[in-house]
Amino acid sequence: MSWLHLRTIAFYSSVKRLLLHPIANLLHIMVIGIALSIPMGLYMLADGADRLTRKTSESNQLNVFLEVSASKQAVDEVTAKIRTIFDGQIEFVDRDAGLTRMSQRLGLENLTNNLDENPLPHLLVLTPKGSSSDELHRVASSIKDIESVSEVRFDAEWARQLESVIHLARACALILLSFVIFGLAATIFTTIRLQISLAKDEIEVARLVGATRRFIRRPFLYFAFIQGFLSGLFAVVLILISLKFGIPYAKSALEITRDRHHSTKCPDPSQPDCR
Amino acid sequence: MIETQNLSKRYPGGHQALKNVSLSISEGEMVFLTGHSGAGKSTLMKLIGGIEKATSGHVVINGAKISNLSPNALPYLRRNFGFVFQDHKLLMDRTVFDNVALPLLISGFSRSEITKRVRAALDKVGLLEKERVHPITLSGGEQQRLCIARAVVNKPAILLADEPTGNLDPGYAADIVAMFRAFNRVGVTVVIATHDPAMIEGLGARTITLSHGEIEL
Repeated sequence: MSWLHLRTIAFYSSVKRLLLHPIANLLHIMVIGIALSIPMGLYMLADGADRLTRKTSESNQLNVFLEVSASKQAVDEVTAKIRTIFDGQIEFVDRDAGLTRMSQRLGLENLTNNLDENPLPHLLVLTPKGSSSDELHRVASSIKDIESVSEVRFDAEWARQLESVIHLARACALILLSFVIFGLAATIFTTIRLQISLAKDEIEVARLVGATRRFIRRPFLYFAFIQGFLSGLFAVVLILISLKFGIPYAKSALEITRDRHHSTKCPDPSQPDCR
Repeated sequence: MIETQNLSKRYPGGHQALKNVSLSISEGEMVFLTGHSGAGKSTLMKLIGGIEKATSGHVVINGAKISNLSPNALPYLRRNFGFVFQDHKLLMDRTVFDNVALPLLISGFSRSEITKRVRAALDKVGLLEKERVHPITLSGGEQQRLCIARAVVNKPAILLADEPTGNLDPGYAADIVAMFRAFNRVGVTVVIATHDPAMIEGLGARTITLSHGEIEL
């Protein structure tokens, strides 16, 4: 009587049990797999989006949007006023160039034709000399008070907001995962109990003819192991499939979001920030 | 080989099934346990086989008190026994072959050894040609013979049979008694509980009679 032999018997017996009700067990494995894949997928999505946005959020530029009605002369006045409190680089982005760029990026070539007038304002992009964004934060409020300035926005603000959403999503995924794990433990427990009650006669007879507790228990443990393993595998496959088909959508959605903010200040697509 | 010392069994609810039963069965003996229905025959069989625990007293098998055995050791003791049940306790979702193979599987025999021994056991009870069928298709007598095959496949030292002919017509019953005698002749200790006087007649075997949980002298 060898150690391996008894375990092989238990393994075959659990596989047999699994194949005895193939449809029911397959459905069970799928249910567990889907339940597992939801928090896992959410977590991976949050993680991926996090990595995509992290790069962007590190850039420290300040976008100063002027009022739509502001004239070219007003732009010069505002630029001069900013110069007095800010000694970094100031880049001017014309509103017409911004519109052309945006329509190209969104693939709406006739956007310019359909609009009676350009809804975009002129834009001033402020880049500080150092890498620190402290200076920008300091001047932002004073710039906001300048006449003709409608809005002051940090370039990376949208990314920071997205990042906080992602952090929330990740936390939700973890909480969800812990709930799902509890739920799954209960589900698998119930399945095994069901299996045991189905095998009641078998267990009784096995005990009568000298089966040890371990001998009786082993196939059920293996059964749960196989079921859990297949469910996990199914969850991974589900996630891989949804990543394969979902990532291009997620990427383009993210790019559109970014473009909404960038298009207004990218007259020259060759600039590194104007992808 | 089998000894009971002041064995008593009281079931939850107060029913006293056995009272101070002391008996001794030597190796290679064939013993009948008789008595009216409810006299405690089945209970005594279960206590000897370690299936139930005594309230007081001891069962001694080959010099070892089974009440002293740990729960982990009990299964190994049971492998020395062959059990024949009145209700057969066969697994209806397995073939005849697999039913008989179960004790060997549990003891960890190799596949080839299992095949050899199962065929030998089925041959002894005359069911070899039915090894592929399911027990549900067998007659009552055949099912009882299958139960016997499963009991002896492990080559046990002791065969315990509880009402083995309970539901069978006299013809079948005689067959089964003949089978037990054959096992006894090759050295197996056989204990048979029965309320059927026809079974005991003319065998010259020792008879222990129980009445209301006590041995009748």
